[in-house]
Amino acid sequence: MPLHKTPAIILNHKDFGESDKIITLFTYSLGKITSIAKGAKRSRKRFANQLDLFSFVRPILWEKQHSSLTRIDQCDLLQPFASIRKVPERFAYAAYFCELVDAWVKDRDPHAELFHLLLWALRMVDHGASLAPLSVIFHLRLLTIVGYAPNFIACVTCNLWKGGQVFYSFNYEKGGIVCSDCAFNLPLKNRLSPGTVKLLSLAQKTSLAKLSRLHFSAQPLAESAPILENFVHSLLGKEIKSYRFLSRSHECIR
Amino acid sequence: MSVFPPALLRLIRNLGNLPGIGEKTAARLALAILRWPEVRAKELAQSIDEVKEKIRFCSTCFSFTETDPCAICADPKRTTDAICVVEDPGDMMAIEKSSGFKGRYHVLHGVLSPMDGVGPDELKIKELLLRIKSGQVKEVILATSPTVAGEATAAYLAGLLQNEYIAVTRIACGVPMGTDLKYNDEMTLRRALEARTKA
Ligand SMILES: [Zn+2]
Ligand SMILES: [Zn+2]
Repeated sequence: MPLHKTPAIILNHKDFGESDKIITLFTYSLGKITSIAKGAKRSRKRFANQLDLFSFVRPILWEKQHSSLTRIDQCDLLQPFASIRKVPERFAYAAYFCELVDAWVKDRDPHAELFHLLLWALRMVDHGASLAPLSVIFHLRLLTIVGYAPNFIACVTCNLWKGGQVFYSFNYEKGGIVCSDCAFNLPLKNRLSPGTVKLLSLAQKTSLAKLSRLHFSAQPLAESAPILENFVHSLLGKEIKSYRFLSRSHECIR
Repeated sequence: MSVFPPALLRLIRNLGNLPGIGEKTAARLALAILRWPEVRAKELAQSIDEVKEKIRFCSTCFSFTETDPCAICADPKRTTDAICVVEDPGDMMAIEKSSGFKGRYHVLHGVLSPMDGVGPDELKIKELLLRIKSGQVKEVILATSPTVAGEATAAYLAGLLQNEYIAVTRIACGVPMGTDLKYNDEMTLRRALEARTKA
């Protein structure tokens, strides 16, 4: 039975039987792994709070024979992100980010960059960062990391960079901006102003450590959030349940 | 599996729908039932029938009950001043056993769980607000579990209730009785210190 010890983020968990839990982990070295934690539901001795949502942990995982399910025996808590649970909106965003990653990655397909992105995002949520800009950046970086970086450099139809435009549009099929000359039959709601395009292209390149210095005002947020969300969701092709929760909690939570 | 006759297979399949029961366990249970005397098996079938027929939600607190309102909501000796909000009837039963609470309950039937599509509308939250609006309640005790989802649900409810003229309290989190202090995790110890009381 090979053993792994790797940093991991708890993406989800569910009760299994009377006393066990099934944990979905995004591990650094193995990618997404499903693991069973025996006795985790009842006994606090071995796991206390390590196996709860969003926790950054270092578990010891055992491979089971004839099963892709691993067994989690021991787990160090590296960071509990204890502030996320104190604010419903933070909880909603953290759940959304984790679900997006869960939906995106395949089992046992390690993805170090995505791991760092999620960890960074959860830290930002925990530290009380502004959530709407964080979400825009998260979508943008996720797209870039998984190979669908939106093109903000040149019109995806005529391949030209045209400055001095009043607005650009966004083409989902080609994944990038369209100049106003080529955008005549694109829906009006896909509009991005030049300032927003510039900001997004900057947010694509800036290192994670410096990203929090980028300032998103209301207009670029309002323009880019729905476009990036739609783009990610259409590429995924499945429902992200937390997104519904998030949209609804925007209405409910003040 | 096909060695079993259809009726037995059906029972196995039905038992296998229960939480935590795999195919093997379901087969073991079904075979045990098959070996029972007929009266015992009939009684099992009848009791399943009966819970579906008689048990419903209390229209006030949403616990399971045979009468509406339930025995606790109908008990004049219990104070109507305080409502203890719990995740499920099991938690309510646990608090009842502790005999530490003499008010009324409200069962949410879950906690916020975005990834499972469980939002405020899927829980008995509107019903809780209605109860509070009725004006008799002076304190709401948030007794959801100290898990991430339980805490987030408590925070959400605290936010909803902040403009009602009532006290909203959260059950304390701390060191479990009978444990050695040093074996508690950091988060629990931190919370225990935050929730300390005058000795
Ligand atoms: Zn063009
Ligand atoms: Zn009742």
